Amino acid sequence: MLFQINHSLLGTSGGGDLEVVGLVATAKIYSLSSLFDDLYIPINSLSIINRAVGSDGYISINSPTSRLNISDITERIAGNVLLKIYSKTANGELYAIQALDYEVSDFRYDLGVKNATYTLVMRDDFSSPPNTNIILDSYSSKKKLNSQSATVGKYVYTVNPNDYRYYSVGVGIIEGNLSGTITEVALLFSNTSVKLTIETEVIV
Amino acid sequence: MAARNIDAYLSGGVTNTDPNASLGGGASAEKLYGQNPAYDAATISGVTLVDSANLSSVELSFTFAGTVLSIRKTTDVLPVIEVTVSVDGEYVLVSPDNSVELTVLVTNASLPVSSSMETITATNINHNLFDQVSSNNSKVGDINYRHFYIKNNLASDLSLKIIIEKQLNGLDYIEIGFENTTGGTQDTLIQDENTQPAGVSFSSPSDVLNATLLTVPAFAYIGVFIKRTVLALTDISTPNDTAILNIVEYQ
Repeated sequence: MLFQINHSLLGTSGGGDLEVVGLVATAKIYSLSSLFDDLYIPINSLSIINRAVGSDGYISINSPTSRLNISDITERIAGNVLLKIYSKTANGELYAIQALDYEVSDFRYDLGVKNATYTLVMRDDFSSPPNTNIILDSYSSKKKLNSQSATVGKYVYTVNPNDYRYYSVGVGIIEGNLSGTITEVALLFSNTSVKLTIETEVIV
Repeated sequence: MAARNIDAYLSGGVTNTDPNASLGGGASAEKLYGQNPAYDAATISGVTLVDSANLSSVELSFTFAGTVLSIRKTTDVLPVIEVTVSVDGEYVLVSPDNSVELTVLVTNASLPVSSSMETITATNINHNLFDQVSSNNSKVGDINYRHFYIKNNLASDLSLKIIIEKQLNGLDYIEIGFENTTGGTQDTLIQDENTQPAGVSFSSPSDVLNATLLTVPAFAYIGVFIKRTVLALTDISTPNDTAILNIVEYQ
């Protein structure tokens, strides 16, 4: 049986009119039961893979660390990771566009002679509320994927990462004479670049 | 589904009618409804519209032979789900794709003597549980809690799972949590809407595999806490910010 909850949300004024110049992500490990203090973790690279079916998406955060502070993360490994994605405006303001909060599924640390990294992986369904259908009139690259099914074709588009909030799995998409449904949204984030790809399944 | 087995009530004490004071404690006598459904033009006698969810516009059909009601959206292609309504009471009508529900109160003696069909539309009952997110809340961020009870209307135990069928369409989001997983116990009244209920873990299950199994004895209540999170510097206004909970019954 369905129950509906309704309210109105007044966004903070100003943000929508400002030019967005990039995306920013922050992550912290925290305890649901206050067993340990929050720990903000720096991000070397970040992957958010959101797929259509069930709970097969994942978030992977690669963090620079050291032999000295590696235990800071390890002792919090039973906690949750709160990952926030912000759009960044030309004057440096950050506007929250998505928060992802999941417990750690897998972890790994790699110790090198001069540096070390810690990788945290959260597996779940990261579906965001679907937007309306999208007409894709701008993309930086397009790649055709082979499909096992002759009746279905797949394309991957690399699109403007600043439009991250507008893409979600399940949304209908139209590009030229192709129309289909987004089956995967992948945000790939590093200290030097942000790449957003959308995989679209079309009937051929 | 046919007869309405469960109802949702505000909490905050039996006389509370204010959703903003629905913060746990005793159950209210005030039911929680999501929409106001209405006949577009003529009505079907004996069929009073009570509540709906995710309803924009549907055709409500009464079939005299068999005394059945059904609803369908004009875009539905699957066969309708017919519900026999020969006994007085509240019934839940479901669209063929299970995306829309309409609750009606049937008075059998007043039903038409021939088949008929009417269009039903609905308007959302705004702020039926949470209040408005102000611009300042959007600027600095805001976490609020609410609580409501689900009542088992059956004379037998009912097992339930609650999933978030549709997450809020704004940039905020809700999570649900439980102080008790077995009904019949009154939940704690939290101090105010900003106070996290002690011992309650929140999550946003979107399927039954990840949802908590709840057991509700006959005619008993079970409490549900809802957490609404608004991130700081949320910049997009959403006048109709709507979420849908699906309460899945196991008998």
